[in-house]
Amino acid sequence: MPGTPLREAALAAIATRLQAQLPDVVVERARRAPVDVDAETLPRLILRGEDWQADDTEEPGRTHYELSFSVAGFASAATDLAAEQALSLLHARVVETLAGWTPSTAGLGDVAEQSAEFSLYDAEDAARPAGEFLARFSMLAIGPNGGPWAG
Amino acid sequence: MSAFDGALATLLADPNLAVDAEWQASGSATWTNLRILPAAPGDSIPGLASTGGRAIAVQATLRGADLPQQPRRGDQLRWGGTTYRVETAEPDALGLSWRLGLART
Repeated sequence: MPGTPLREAALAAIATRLQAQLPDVVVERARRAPVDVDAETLPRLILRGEDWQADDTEEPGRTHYELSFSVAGFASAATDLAAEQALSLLHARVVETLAGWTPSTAGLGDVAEQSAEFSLYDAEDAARPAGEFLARFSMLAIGPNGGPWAG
Repeated sequence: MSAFDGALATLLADPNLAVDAEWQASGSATWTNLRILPAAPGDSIPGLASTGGRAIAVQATLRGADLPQQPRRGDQLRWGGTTYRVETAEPDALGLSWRLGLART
């Protein structure tokens, strides 16, 4: 095995970047369990790797990969309006942290912002005003054909 | 008193199920004493194709006849040292009771 998979190197670099730039926010990777907005520390981000697309037509002998990933953000506040504002603020901070950033790891390229969805939880579901967003990004990664390794 | 009135009265009188509370209409300074059936269901909330959240809702069921007017969003309910703001108010089909969805204030 030549080294770390490009996908893992990318996700690790993104998590490190989020933790460094947003020290007041809890950052987790690949979490499957729901976030308990009444019991867990907020704001909180969950980073998850998603789709992986390969394109070997861009450069002879090398493959350009597009790695998709999502960042789910959870926030709460004392009022409904403050909760929505907290979500907007957290989302903006995530975009500011990631969009256009290039990791120092060889083979990894720029992060591009894609889209986001927002959800303020219904009053019937949550006594505490809270909500979440799901922000999607993509990252360019380049490796030799058939060699998706970082290094 | 109908069978449903009687059942509701029994539930509200039960010390294991019901508690003493106070209700205040929005814009009023008067608190009304009453009995309520509190509940705090916790459930997962469908996420945005992601992890999703989990939250606890706070609800209270009360007898409509115990209130001087119909409850509505913005009223307040307090018990056990905590005051809640009414977010939703749903009557039952017979008009005997109301289930209130509450937010912590």
